[in-house]
Amino acid sequence: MAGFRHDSYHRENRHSPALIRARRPYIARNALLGAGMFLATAGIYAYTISVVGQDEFSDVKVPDVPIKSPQATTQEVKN
Amino acid sequence: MALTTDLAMRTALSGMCAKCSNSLRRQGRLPNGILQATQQRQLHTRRRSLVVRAKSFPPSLARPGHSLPTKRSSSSFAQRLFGGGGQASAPSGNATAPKRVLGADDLFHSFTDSPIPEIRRRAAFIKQHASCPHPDHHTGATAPAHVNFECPDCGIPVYCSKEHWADDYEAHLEICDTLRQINEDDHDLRSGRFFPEFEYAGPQIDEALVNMTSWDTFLYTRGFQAINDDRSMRQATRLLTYPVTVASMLHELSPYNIQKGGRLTVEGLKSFSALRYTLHPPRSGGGQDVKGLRIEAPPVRLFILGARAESSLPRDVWTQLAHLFPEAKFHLIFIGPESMANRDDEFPLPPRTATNPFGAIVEDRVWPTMKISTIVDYYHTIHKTGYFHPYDPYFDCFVLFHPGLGHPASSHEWEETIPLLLETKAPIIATGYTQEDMERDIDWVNKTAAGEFDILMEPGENKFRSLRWDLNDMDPQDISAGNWGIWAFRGKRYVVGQAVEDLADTNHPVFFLQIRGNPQG
Repeated sequence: MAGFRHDSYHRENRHSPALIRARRPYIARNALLGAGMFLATAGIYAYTISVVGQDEFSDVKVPDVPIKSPQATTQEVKN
Repeated sequence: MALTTDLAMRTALSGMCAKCSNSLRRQGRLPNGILQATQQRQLHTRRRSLVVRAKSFPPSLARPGHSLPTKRSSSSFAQRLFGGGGQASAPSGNATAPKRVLGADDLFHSFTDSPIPEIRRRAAFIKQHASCPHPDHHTGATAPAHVNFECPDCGIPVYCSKEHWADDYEAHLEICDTLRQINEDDHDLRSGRFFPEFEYAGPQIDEALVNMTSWDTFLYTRGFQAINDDRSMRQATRLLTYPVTVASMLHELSPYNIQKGGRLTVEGLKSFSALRYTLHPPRSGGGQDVKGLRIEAPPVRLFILGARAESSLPRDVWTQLAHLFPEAKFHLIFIGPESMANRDDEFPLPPRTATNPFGAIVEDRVWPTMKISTIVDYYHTIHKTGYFHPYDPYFDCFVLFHPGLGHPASSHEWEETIPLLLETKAPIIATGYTQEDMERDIDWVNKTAAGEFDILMEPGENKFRSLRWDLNDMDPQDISAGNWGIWAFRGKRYVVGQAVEDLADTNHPVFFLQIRGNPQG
């Protein structure tokens, strides 16, 4: 018999009482682990975004809209 | 249960073992589902009601006090057959389909006025045999009297009169709720409903690990149908406690360990590791063909001593043990003077011949890896003949279900057996009804064996105890849960070591002994 489908534990798309009882010893540890993983991810996102957001780009000169001439178009291509 | 006839037949024939079909044939029901007109039995009353032996029973009176003995052949396959194929039976169809006698909300009835005749008989038995527990009877103020008065809250006759009941009300309140639960469970068992909790899970691959932390995790990881209702849990665990208790001790994923609070001792770890070496053998590359032939260990022998109701459990309950150990073979040997309790349809016993010197009933088709033998005799008689010799702690284990070693009514029967068990040095798993019961057993073993035994597991509550409480018909105050507690012991082993001086003279490197004298390099 391969992996079980455990259909009877998920009647009407809800956890049956038997499933809740079976999972009860692990609720606390699972919740803690889930919270830890979520906070770690959120922390990584927050750190990355905050560090990236500190970059100052005011010293980068954005060139003006180029004049429509063959010389200007080649310059655009180079850029 | 709305199976068509041919589906029922196919299900039954594909699943029914030879033994079940034999016993069905004996009862007059052929495997094709046709009920013989001569055999009229009430099917809806035939459920698995387990016999609980009271300690105060002398063996000769063991039968009348119990709930109605059921036929062992009521396996789940047979029940499906009775339910589905019965509708096709021509001559007498009305006796075959299990009729719902009691509704789910109609389960509480006074025992004396119960709609089930078997329970009324039980009530009459209790009134004849049980005594009123009120302290007045003990002090001599009144003569001892049989119970007559039924408590209106629990429906079980508990006191001799209403005055004594009212007087002792506080003491009765402690067990009144449990008694009511027992009342309802007993009526539920005979209510004729469909029991999905008696449909057991089949075998599973060993990669699908079983979690033995509790009943709920066990049933989930074994792939049982969800048992949501408490009452269904109680009915199911009452039977399953026997194989699963044994498995919870022997399995490598056992919930007991040598950590603090794990209750297993180091000696216990040694003993059970030896058994687990056989039960969980390393991969050998074996297969079903000739090239896959490998040497296999002999079957693990579980000697279930003092077997009473356990030997009459339906065989698909015991095959749960085989499913938990897919690579091991089992030989269950039920030995005891009452090991044929509730198995009247298997009498007469086979004759004692040279090949079967104890007239054992051997069922070798229970499962491909499981064989069950039943011997009606005391274990010490058989041990002294050396029939099962040699005993090897890697293959043999003794299991005692509520033996009552220290109980005054039954301890004399164990006096000869326990020293012989300790000699074999095989582990002995024992269960008990209460903590005091087990501690009394340990004291008794201490006295009988003069301390020559090791505790393998500290006594305590069994994680896989029966969740259902059973009533002792001889004494309604004595309620017990099957296999409530568990402990294990073994005869003490003395290992003879080699003298250090001998080893120092050889050239062999000695890793763990301190060498005094000249080390040889």
